[in-house]
Amino acid sequence: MTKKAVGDADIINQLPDSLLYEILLKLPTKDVVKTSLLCRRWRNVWKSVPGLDLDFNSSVDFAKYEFFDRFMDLNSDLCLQRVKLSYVEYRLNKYNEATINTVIDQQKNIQHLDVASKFDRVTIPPTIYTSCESLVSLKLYCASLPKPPHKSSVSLPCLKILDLQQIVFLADDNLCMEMLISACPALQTLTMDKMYAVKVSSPSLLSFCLNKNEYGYHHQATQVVLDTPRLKYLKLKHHFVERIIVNDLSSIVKLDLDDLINFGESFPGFLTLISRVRYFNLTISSDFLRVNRKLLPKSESVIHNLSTLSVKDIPPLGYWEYLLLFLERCPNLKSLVMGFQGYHYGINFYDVPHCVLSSLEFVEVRARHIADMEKLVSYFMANSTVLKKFTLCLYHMKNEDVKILDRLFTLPRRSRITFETYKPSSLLSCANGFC
Amino acid sequence: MSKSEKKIVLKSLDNEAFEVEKAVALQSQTIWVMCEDKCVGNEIPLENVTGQILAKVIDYCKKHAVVDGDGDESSEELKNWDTEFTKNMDQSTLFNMILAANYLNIKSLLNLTCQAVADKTKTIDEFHTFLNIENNFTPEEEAQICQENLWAFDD
Repeated sequence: MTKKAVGDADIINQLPDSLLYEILLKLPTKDVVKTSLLCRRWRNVWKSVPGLDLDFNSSVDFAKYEFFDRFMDLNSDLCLQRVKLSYVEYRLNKYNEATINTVIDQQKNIQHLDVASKFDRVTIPPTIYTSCESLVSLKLYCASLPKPPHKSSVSLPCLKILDLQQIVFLADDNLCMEMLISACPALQTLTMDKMYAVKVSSPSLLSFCLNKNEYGYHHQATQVVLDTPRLKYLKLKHHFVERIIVNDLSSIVKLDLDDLINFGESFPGFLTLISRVRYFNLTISSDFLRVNRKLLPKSESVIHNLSTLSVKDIPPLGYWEYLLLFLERCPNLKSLVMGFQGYHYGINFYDVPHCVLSSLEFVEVRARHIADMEKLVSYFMANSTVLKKFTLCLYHMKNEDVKILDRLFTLPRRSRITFETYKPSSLLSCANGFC
Repeated sequence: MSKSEKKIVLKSLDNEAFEVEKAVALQSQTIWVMCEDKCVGNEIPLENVTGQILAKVIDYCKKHAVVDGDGDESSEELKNWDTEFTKNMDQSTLFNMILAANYLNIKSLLNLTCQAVADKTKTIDEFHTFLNIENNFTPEEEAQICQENLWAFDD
């Protein structure tokens, strides 16, 4: 490498091939092949990119199957690192199965495998458990997996990321899932859906996300059993978690319950667990507060260490009180983020817990119109004793709104408060709060 | 730990010195190895990176430094920051960032900057302009290349 900074004109030619491949690995194979037309130097670069990202959208797409075969021949020295295969046709056929089998059986050094099917489940061969020792990340969408062999025969020593959605096992789903998880000694991030009784036992796991199933089932209750002593991020997007059994949540730093509606009778127990966490951030929906409000008084727990609370989707009427009930349990809250739907003329501030006003340093409000929020903004600006920053995220800004905004900027403030506004990138991210 | 042990000085190719927290600098595997070797003092010369680029790399490392062991790679805020960080970089800055990330061995930064180049070069025309590549094929050669992988050029 030259010691001079590289000049503008020819900089791409100064990049070593390994870095060109790094860039090309981010592109679909179709675009990578197109680079053969750039200039002579690029004529054959695509052939050495150690990755494949193809989508098959027609079973008569023979040119693509033929390309796949040629490409695998080029890479018969097992150098592929990343493979992503998507099947977007209605009926999967023997050609599709052949592609996935070829990759798993031949590419022993593959590190990232991502297989997705849009309609039919794609069948993954049993060799997935035994012949891909270098696998770091495995993502499967709409696939059927064989039953894992005994733990001692599974060979996935480096697997860190496992993302399984719309999956069936060709045997008892829950049991197979448990077997697979316990056979991955390096697992750090696990994402899945549709397990009715999830038992996750992993000493290495840092992040767990239970998604809701896109096709039905999501109102069905599920049980979550976690034996994950190092878990830092827990996200439950399932609608109804009937029971949650966790020995220890003390390592948690971020808890996301934004789509979880119902905790059933395990809610007080869960509150007790999170009241012991050292320091963490929590995201919830307002429905979560409504459904669980009756169980809240049954618990004595005070959540001393909750630092940031984000509440999504607060609807126009009634729900404010539920939020106040919850805030009473959070005496040391530093940041509060609230996402409002629609109009909020009826907010009543009499019951805002004093402890919250004396601890909040950051408040962010996301709403559609400024007129809905004027009272709320004035209230926090005038009553929060240690508030440092108030952020207003507004989707609609009309000319007359500028006047309201000017008024808000000149409001009496108790402390040295920074007041900021910004516009979200989309209405959705505003109303739903925080995707 | 004394204050001097916590800080470290990075010196760029053009002799610009940056004093940073050790935790920030150690995200670079290259610097980490240099510190382990103990063959350097508190000042580390980085002969392949200019001050202008190094300043940006340090910005990135400061943002991504693990605070109290709670670094959350997946947070929305961090992702937005990353997008903004590369959004307005011109191609020469981006390529120099890639070279720097590679030399300093900061995997996440290499990943981010390569992704940024990939995002800016979705079509063949974008490739030509962004990468500053002049087509030196004859029309016959071009036709032949297309013919070899017709499926990729069908749109």
